[in-house]
Amino acid sequence: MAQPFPYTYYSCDCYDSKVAPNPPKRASQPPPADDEDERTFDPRNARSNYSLYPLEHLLYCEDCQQIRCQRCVIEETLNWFCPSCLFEVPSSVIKSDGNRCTRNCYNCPVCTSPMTVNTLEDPTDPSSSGGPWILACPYCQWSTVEIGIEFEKHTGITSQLSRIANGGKTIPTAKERDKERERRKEIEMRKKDRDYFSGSEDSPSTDKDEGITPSHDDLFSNLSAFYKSQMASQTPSNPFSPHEINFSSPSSFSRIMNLYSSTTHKKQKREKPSPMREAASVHEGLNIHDPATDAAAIERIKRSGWSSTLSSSQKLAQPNPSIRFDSELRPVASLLQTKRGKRCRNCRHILSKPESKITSTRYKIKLLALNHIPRLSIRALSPIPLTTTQPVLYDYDRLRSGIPTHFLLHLSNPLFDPIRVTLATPSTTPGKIQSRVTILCPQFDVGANTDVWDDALSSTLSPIKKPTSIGPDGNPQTSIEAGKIWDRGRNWTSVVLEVVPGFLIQPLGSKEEEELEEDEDVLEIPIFVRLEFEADVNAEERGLGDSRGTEGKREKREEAFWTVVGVGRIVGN
Amino acid sequence: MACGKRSGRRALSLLRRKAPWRRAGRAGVELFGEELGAVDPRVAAASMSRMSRPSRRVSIAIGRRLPCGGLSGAGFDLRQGPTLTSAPPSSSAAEFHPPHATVHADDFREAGNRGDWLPTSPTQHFPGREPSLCVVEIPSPCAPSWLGFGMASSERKLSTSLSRSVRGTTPARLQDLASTPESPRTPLLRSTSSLFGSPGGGFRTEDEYLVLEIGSRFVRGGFPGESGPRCTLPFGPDEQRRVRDYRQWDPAYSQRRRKRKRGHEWGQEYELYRQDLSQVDLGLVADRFERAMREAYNKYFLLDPKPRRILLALPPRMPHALMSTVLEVLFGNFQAPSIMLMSSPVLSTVAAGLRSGLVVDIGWAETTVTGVCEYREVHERRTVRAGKLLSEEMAKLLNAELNEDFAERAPKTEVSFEEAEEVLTRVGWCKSRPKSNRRTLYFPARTSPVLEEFEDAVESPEPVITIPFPRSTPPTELTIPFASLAKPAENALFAPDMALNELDDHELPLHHLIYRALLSLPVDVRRLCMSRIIITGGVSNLPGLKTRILAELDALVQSRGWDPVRSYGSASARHEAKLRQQREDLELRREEGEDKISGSLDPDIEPLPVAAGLQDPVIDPIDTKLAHLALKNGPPAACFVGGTIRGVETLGAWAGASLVAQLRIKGIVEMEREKFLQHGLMGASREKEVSVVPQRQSMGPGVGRGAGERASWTLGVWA
Repeated sequence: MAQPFPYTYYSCDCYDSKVAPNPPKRASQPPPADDEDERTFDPRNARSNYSLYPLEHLLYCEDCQQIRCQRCVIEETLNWFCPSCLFEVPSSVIKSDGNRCTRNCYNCPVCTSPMTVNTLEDPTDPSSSGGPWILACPYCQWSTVEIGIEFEKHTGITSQLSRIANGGKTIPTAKERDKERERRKEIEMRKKDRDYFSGSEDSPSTDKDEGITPSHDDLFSNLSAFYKSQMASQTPSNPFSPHEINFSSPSSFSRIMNLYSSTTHKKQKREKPSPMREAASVHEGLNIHDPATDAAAIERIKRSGWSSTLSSSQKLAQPNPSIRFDSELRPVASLLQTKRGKRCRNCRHILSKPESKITSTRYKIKLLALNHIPRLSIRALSPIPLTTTQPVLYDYDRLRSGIPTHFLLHLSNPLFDPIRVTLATPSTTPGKIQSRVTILCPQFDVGANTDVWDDALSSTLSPIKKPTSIGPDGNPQTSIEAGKIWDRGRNWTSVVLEVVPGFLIQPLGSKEEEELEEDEDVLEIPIFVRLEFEADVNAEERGLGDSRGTEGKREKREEAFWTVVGVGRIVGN
Repeated sequence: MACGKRSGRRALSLLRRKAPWRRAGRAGVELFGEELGAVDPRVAAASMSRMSRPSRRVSIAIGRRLPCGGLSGAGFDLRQGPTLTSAPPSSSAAEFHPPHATVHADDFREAGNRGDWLPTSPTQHFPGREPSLCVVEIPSPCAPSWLGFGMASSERKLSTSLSRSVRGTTPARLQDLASTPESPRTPLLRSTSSLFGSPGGGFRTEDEYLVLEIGSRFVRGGFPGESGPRCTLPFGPDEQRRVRDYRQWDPAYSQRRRKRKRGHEWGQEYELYRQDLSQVDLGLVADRFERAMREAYNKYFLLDPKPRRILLALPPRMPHALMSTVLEVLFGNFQAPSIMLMSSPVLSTVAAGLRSGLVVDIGWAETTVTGVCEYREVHERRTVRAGKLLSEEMAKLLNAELNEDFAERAPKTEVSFEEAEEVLTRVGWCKSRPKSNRRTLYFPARTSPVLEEFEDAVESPEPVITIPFPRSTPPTELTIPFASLAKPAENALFAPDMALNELDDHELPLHHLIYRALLSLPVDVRRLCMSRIIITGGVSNLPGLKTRILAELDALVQSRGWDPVRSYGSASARHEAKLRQQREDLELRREEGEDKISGSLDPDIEPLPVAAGLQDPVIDPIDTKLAHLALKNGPPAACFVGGTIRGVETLGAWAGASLVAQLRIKGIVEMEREKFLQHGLMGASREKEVSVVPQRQSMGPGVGRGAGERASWTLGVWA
């Protein structure tokens, strides 16, 4: 993987527990689901990408006594801020103004770097306000000049930008649009009346479109207004004000009739509500397909070629992703970010809660898995004598096929209780290249994470066994023995792992044309870790109770999880 | 009438005891407090005095002290002015379904236990004029109690049960009203009025919606009332990496060309799901969807912790297993209290401003043609000629061009999916006019009408496009004739080189698919649909494609008419003769019509007896008058366009969903979280077909509440 070798991933078991109860759901899945317990974790499975996390990304719920990953927490937003100007945005503004910064924070639509406000002032002819202003990208030199937008002031860019369309024309505000719509409606009504009185037969649909195709937003607001008016015409606009009864509306008319006649109402009841009509013109949101726009787009591609079009990532970053040409780009206001607290999905206890101050990176509550789960790491046990002054870097990217190599699995214990660890791994790694893996000492103890000085002060601790011996040449000689740990410290233990990397190309009868896929040559070993330890009953007092605590009740606990250790990349011989 | 509060109170307690309908449990009583003026005690007195005579109509003069809002409220149908309408005689009490009335009175409050009745929503002000007279039809025993008179009692139990029923109040069902002639008239549109007329402050909090649209390659999400989604999230391999795997930002990596995974189909890594679930790991789908939704929630929606309802736009044919996977994620991981499903063709129709239309959704895996009539799917056809095939064709074209340049020395290059996709979306296009290829139009050889020759004007020099390929090693550029970039669309979507009989049913070219879909619609629906062809979907953005489809379709219709018989075999000659005869007749008559006078002036020629169907209709002056009236009052003529091929642009299914949610229209398919988690999709117990009327009603009252009491739900088109 892209992480440098060696690395360790921890699997959060919400992956299993979520799926297990619904076996019928997975009936369509090809591999036969054998026993959930028997199944070994497969880091090559596409799903494992979603359940593997580095230890630092995991939280730990003390009540459920389980690891909690991003998927098994509930997040709640505490506050909102702009990552670019670090201003906190109140939640009411989020509702009204959306999820982007409304100050001057803009990103370049071409290269996404933050844009700056520059002036276009002519030094020979300075203007009073400091001249027309633009947004410019300091990285790729794109600026709003290219889409024909200049600003009058250097502040309040957002409000200015929302009024200027590309090319410098002003965009009517929603109010103006409404007014315009009303005006048009009036005209149409009058025209209709005229048609009626003059008795002319021809349809009044002489749309003068002014040759402009309405924008997406225009259409949407037209359509929305149209639907609203249609809905409203079914019912009087304000049912609570009797003087506003709309006599032309059929429903209110029938209702008034109902008031005075008790016999007609049965018939009225059965009547279906009259359907609202379709949109009939552009001002109601109807947009008839126009071949001219198609032709224009084709012509434009033909003329200006590849460089004038937008890549898909550029398009997706735009507020309106359906654009095609670079002249339609708009500066992208920076997305707001949030500070979020996290709760356990099961018990709803808070797992992490940042301080609400934007500039503070501290947390009020933070229950990290780091403090509850032993850290497993791996490194090569270099065959080179340890005394050489300059450390020799082991090249994890070049594991040799077929040559047994030794690695050290290092387990350090963050708990205040000694733990007993059992490791398990499938004897051959899953995947196309099968490497043989042996853990020489799968079961061992790790000391408690006591105060560093406890070691020195207390003499009762068992002496740390050093499995190294002095070789014939006077250097510490490795004596790798099965069943023995390699080394041990105050709260850590390391054991040896023997790996025989598999062969990239099967020596016999393999098909030549099968090429290796991305990351198939990476040696990843799934290791199952099981811990047993005795802890105080009360989870809250763990750690504190250690020193005082003989009277505190102890209980036996165990924990188990899968990890995946990325050892290196195999190369052929 | 000098009866004061005391006697009124006595009356109330009397009434309280006789309220049989209370047990029906459906009644709702809502008591609004405070800010309204006091109810005139005379009202209560009048009701009391008339109580013994059921169903008597009473006219009461109400003093100006009483604002009309005092007696009525959200449920009381204020549109009827200051009138309190009917209630049933006691016999039909079970059918009686009173609106939740709002009555305010200081003396009620005094009469009852203080604090026993809780105003359920903020009181509204009704600044209307105070009426001087109103007609009150006082129903027999129960009426006052549904006015709330009985409520202010000491029965705490009652108040809780009632307030529960308030929450679950639905408008009366039509059937109920119909079966009991004397039943109180709960005005049908009351619900809508309370919805759109007045913002019921109490509801607003609970109907906040999120709008999601799920496609096979993208998911779009945003808020109602906005013209575009807040985010459009793709499902590429970059979205599938492990945490802390940052290789896509590694410049060395991004320069490399990605290989297709073994055993994977073209673009398989880029799709969320496929219709064929036999090869799909649903767990993986759930994982991917969950991650995308988490990104949407955390990065784009930025919501406060309050759970939101979800309006989900889905294609109308979706495997149930897939649906339940998606729903499980939304209900389980995102705590949606309820999800409303709407089918995307219908929403596309809404977003086009139409009620009916033929929605051609050129998506990723397949193109679906859905006939929508009055917001309902009536017909559907599909073909695999869609985005996937198109981008594969584009890749073939690019491969061929690239390998041509490099001759034999280099190993064959294979462009990656991204590259093909990029070229397609940036410079791909489609010829907007069909070529004069005989086989494109599939005319039977003998009858092919002479169409004008569509010949592309040959330009000189031939326009070319230069496409950079930074990912190939070494980075290279390809200069390709502009015209050839239109070939993939041609081949993939229109298949001009294949005769129709070589094609399978699932791979019909688009225009044929549309034609057949239209052909199989009933005539009246076809008339509506053919002039409302809505082309949508990702591929429809290809420049020229919409024009092309419409042109092809037009040509097809002109050449074939609406005759379902494709070949008459040995009888074809006769059939053609008949056709020709018909056409000639038509021509003849048109000519006749033009110079009718000359014809009639000639006395020698006996006018041919014309068939009744072909005669000019007699013009009825009343009809014309009605037509004028319709023109004046009814919808404009543009709403009745039909019978010609016409394309209508839509804003897309997402925008439609946004509109629908903004207008707070309720869909048929709405499921509650609890019920879904309990039963899954199997919980949909109601039958598939839901009649239009209840559906309209469910557009209903304060949207948020209708759903609460729905005992069962349906899967609608997805069933």
